Amino acid sequence: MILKYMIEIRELTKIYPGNKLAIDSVTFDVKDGEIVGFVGLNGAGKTTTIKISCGILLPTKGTVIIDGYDIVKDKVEASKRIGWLPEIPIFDNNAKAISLLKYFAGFHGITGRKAEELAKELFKKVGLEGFEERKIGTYSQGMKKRFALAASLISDPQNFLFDEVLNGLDPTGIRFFRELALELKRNGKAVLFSSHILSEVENLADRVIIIHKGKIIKIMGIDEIKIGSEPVLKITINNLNRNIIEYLSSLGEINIEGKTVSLKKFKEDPAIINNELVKMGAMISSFTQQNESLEEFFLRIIGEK
Amino acid sequence: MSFSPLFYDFKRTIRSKTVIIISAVLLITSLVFISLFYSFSFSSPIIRNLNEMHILIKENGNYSFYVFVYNQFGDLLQNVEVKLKITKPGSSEIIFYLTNYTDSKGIAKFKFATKEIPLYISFNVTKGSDSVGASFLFSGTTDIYSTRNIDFVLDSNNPSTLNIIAFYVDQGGQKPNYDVYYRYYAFNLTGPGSPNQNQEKQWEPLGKLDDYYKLFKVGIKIPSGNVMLNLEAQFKDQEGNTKLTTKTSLTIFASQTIDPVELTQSFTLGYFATFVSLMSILAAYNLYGKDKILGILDYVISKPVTRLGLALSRYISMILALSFAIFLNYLLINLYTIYLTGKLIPWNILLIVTLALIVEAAAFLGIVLTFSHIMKSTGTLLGIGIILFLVFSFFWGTIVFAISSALGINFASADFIRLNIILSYFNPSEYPSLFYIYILNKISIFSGFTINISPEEYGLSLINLIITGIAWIIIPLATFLYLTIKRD
Repeated sequence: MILKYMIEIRELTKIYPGNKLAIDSVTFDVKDGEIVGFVGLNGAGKTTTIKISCGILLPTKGTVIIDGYDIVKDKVEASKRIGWLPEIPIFDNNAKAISLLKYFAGFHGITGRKAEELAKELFKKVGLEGFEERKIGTYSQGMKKRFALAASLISDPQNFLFDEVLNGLDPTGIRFFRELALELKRNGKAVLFSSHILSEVENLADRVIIIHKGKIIKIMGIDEIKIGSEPVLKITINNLNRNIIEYLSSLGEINIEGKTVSLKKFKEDPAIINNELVKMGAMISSFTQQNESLEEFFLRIIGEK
Repeated sequence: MSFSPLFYDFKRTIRSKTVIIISAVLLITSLVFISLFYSFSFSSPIIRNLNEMHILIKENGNYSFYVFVYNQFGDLLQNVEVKLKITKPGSSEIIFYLTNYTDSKGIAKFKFATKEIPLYISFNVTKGSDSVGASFLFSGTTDIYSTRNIDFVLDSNNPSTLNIIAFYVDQGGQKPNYDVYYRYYAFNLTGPGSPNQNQEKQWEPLGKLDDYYKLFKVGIKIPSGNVMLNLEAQFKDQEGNTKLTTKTSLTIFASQTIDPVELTQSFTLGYFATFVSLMSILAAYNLYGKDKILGILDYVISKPVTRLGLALSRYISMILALSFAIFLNYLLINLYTIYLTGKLIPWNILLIVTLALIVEAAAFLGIVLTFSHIMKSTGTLLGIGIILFLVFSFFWGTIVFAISSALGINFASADFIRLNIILSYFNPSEYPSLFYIYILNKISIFSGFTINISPEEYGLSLINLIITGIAWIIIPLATFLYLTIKRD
């Protein structure tokens, strides 16, 4: 498959009133058939980047090209090719859900019976069948997210921007969006999603973009993270005592959680460490070598840990 | 993009609680006030429901007395009781006491003979709880005596106009046969002029009186204000000799007349314009400002629509919905006024006032939409809206007084009127009033106090009004659109 850059973000800068720099020269791409995780601390600039990419905010500098269309200069054409899912979808609470969905369909030129049929189909697809006639105000946060997803699927766009989409969802909601993202990927869509649940990002994303204080500090594939990250020995010892802890401390950095010791920055061969522990009388129930998780990698990269 | 989002926003506006509640309050209170005003005004009608004209004829010591009874429209009234009492002047001694009923011609006839002279004659006409009567001293110097032979009556098809009814009986009870001429003059009771100005008027033919009574449909428009209408008539025989000159007068007080235009004006100038500003401000706040500040519009703008397109779509749908609500309310109120008064309101006034109200709505809409892009909280935006309403619609009169006081302008002066008109150009709530002043050549300075003016002398011209209207629509709209495009 030939990969094309479907979402091209170049030198994107946003300065809010009061000279507050939100993002600074942000540049990255998202390709067709790719899920890209967009991670960063609160206020790092994820939402600003996504909102500019959807045409909601105006950039101070830089460009966002969606399938060849500039989101500022060719707003209508670019927007036709994007589906946006906000962290907290806010709709008119007094609106009837199906009427609102048909209203959104109108912006895509879908009206009348066609809009009605499409709306019902989308309600079914996102698991809101039977709730079409309800007012949005009666929906839970999770239902509003599903409704927003239905609205973003109206025109079957090629590109999706999910902003903290997993926040506030129950496990079934999280699973629904995980499966949806994978389905979109299988269908060759480009998906950029930001999330604080880094384990989900790790499971889903092909690539991860780390943004910190408005700047992109790392863009790399999930495999690269695994290769590039430091190995960790996780040893569970039933009779963990001072001698054993002192020994492990002499080998590198340790972190103890219950009976499990995580050992990083060690230089000794793990097999030798295992033998030494046995000689010291340690009753080992588990001895595994792992790579850093995305969370550990992320925190190390941004220097918070 | 299709028209469906525009239609959706139109429906959303027209179905919004703001528009429905304000329209309902405006409509109900207006109908109640009009009804109260109407019933109050007509509790003292210009012309009574029971009226009479009488004539006494003396023939060789025999007397014939005719009492003609009619209603406010000049329709004769049959079977109405008439009691006649004849006494000696200065004495309570009754010579005759007679009772009769009006016949099919509405005339009650009495015949009596007496040698007494002079006579004090009094009679009373009674119909249900209503009664009318007269008394006079007959000295016997003439053979025919009557106090008046003409009268004003209302036109039954158009009660804002008056017709003339004439009544006469010739010697021997014969029907008259005269050409009747008339002239009338409206004397303003509170203004300059002389009640004798009728003398300067030319006689005009009224018609031929060839029966005991006749209704002449002349359609004299009932003047507004406190006015006395003086009517004179001459009965001329076939040779052109004046047989009789008779006169009557009708006093009209402003509170007795209902002019639908005036009535509409009173609502348009104050009540209606106030509600329209409130409706526009709250609609703009609820249906755009709140959406913008709370982020509801974010999801909409992520759809294939430009900022300009979305802003224009919302503006157009709201102004269409408000115009529809204004038109419907105004139409219903006017239809009710027509139902009550039976008077048609000139279509050009209806159209112009509706358009002026729409301009007012557009101006307030544009202003609040503009502030929606400046304010960061819904509370502040609502506060701005309330301030706009209070300044432009509620305390405007006080502000004008304050400015005129600061400038040392006397409240009863032409300068005050000029200042009032100039300041009105800067207030969209006053825009309908400016049109009214221009059309009716009247300005209401104090509540209920109206002065006739020549608008052009005070800088009020049609071109100024058109330019002002365009400015009130374009300037807030252009500012709103500019901020929409350039500001997040």
